[in-house]
Amino acid sequence: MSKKLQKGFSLIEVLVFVTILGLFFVAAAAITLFSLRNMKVSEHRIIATHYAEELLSWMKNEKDDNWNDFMDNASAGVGTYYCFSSLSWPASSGSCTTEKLDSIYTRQALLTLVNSSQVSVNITVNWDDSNITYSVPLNTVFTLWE
Amino acid sequence: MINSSKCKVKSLKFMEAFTLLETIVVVTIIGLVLPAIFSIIFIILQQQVKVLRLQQVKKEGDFVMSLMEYTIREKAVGIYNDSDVSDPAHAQCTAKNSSYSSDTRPLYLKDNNNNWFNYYLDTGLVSSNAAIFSEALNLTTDKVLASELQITCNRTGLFSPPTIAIRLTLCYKTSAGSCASTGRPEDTASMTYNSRVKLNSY
Repeated sequence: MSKKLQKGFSLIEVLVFVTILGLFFVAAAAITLFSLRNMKVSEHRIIATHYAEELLSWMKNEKDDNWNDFMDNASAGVGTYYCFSSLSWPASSGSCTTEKLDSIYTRQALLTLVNSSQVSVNITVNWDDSNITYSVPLNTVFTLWE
Repeated sequence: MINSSKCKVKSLKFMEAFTLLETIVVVTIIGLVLPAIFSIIFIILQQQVKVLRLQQVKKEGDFVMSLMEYTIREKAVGIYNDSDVSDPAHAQCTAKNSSYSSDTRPLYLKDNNNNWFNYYLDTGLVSSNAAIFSEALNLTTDKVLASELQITCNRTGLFSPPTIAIRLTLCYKTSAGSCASTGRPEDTASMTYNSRVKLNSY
């Protein structure tokens, strides 16, 4: 008699509950993961912007010091890539994969000669985070007289 | 009609309760889920703290650097190692290939009204003083700690004005009152600024 009266949930009820609970947890986990990744990216972006600005102000001084030397580092048309792991002209131009700042960021500068009194400077700081490459670009044009 | 005493006995007999097993299962699940949720919240807060601290350091550092760069580039007409900027004997970086660093003595700059102004470290704060100020101004707040401010002048040739190199290291002041934090790397935020300006008004 008592066995007959024992109540329980039906399979459908249990399924619905488990599904709703599962969906909720998956959504919560996804949101958490997304916001964590976002915050990590913004942390890296702050530092990357600092490195890009540092290089830009250094370049501005190089240009002020000696325009001709500075211009020699640029090439017309395609431009020349430099990898700046420190604030000094690298010995060779080219892309950088081994020299990294804080072993995360690669800092590249592309110098293009626009004409005899203008050099276009494109600074890019890149970093990889879970197989996505983020970048902070900083572009300007240096003129002989300014 | 149902006898009330009979009914009471009946309802007592059918009163439902959780079994021990059910209670244990529920407590275990709550015990597993709650720590997980709180640890996730903790990780998010940690990350947020790091971002906010970096932002604060960058904000103050950018402000100080742009102020120093602008005033030195546009306003400074001379570099001295003493506040008596009328005495040429105190002038620095006037000769070719000469340099002077603020390591030994503070560096004083002269503006075009022959008044001095300077930037220096004062117990972890970047401060500025000038002949026309009644008291020194703090350029950074006590949220950040300036551990290094080096101002070096350099002159390469007599036909070009001297350049001034500024090196500044800022960090967020942790609860320990220093740049370092014991065992909590997310508490630390540090930035180094390097800049060089030419005295355009020299």
